[in-house]
Amino acid sequence: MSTDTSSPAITTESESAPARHPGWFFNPYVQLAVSTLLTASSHVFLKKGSHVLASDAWFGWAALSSPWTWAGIAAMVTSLFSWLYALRFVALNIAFNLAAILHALVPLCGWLFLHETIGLKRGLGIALVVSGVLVIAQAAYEAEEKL
Amino acid sequence: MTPFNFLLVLVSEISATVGQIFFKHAMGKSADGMNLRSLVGGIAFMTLSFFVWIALLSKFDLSYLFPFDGLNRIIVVVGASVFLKEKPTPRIWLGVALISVGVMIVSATD
Repeated sequence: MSTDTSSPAITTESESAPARHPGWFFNPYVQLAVSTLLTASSHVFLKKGSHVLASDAWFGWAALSSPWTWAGIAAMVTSLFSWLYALRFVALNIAFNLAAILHALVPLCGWLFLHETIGLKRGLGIALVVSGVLVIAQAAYEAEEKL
Repeated sequence: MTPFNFLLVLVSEISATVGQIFFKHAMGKSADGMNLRSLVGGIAFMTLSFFVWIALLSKFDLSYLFPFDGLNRIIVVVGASVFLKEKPTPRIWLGVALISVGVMIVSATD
């Protein structure tokens, strides 16, 4: 459910130069950071909203009764707008690698805001997943560059 | 993680990937707007993925479940080699291996 690297990214030469942005808030790198933080927080919100579900639920539509779920949806949709805006200016390799950072950031948020315990073993597994996603992100970027 | 819950993870990740492909097709290359049928299909798969993911979130720690989202890359690699006959490079195999081992280690911390 994270913002996916496989989504189409269109950068043209004329747009790639960060020309004039109306104020720091519209700096594409600021928007990339905003998008990343919003995606991470949306997962925290969705986790909080999921507590209302029955233990045998496999389809979580009933979580819509929780305001946390709606906060999660709002954060996710807003992050998509920031993401699409930033992709007009920012190089693809940065966008690709950002998805890898989320794999570290989201578990970190689980520890920080949901008071989850991340032991040595889980931390090691998370680190391996992050490095694997990074390796694939870089391979995907180089393949894209050759086109 | 029980086999049933792992199946739910796969349903959520695969339908998210299929949804992305629908969206990409919907946006297409033609200038004359987008393919509405593909857009509806994409929304349907994304909705399925979203609500299955929420059901999984209710059962597991976020820091336990999120690493499974890395399986998404593996699904894309496998899908591209099966349907598009793309040969994964050694580096992609390395990434797949790292993610797989990482997810296996995390899954042992339930």
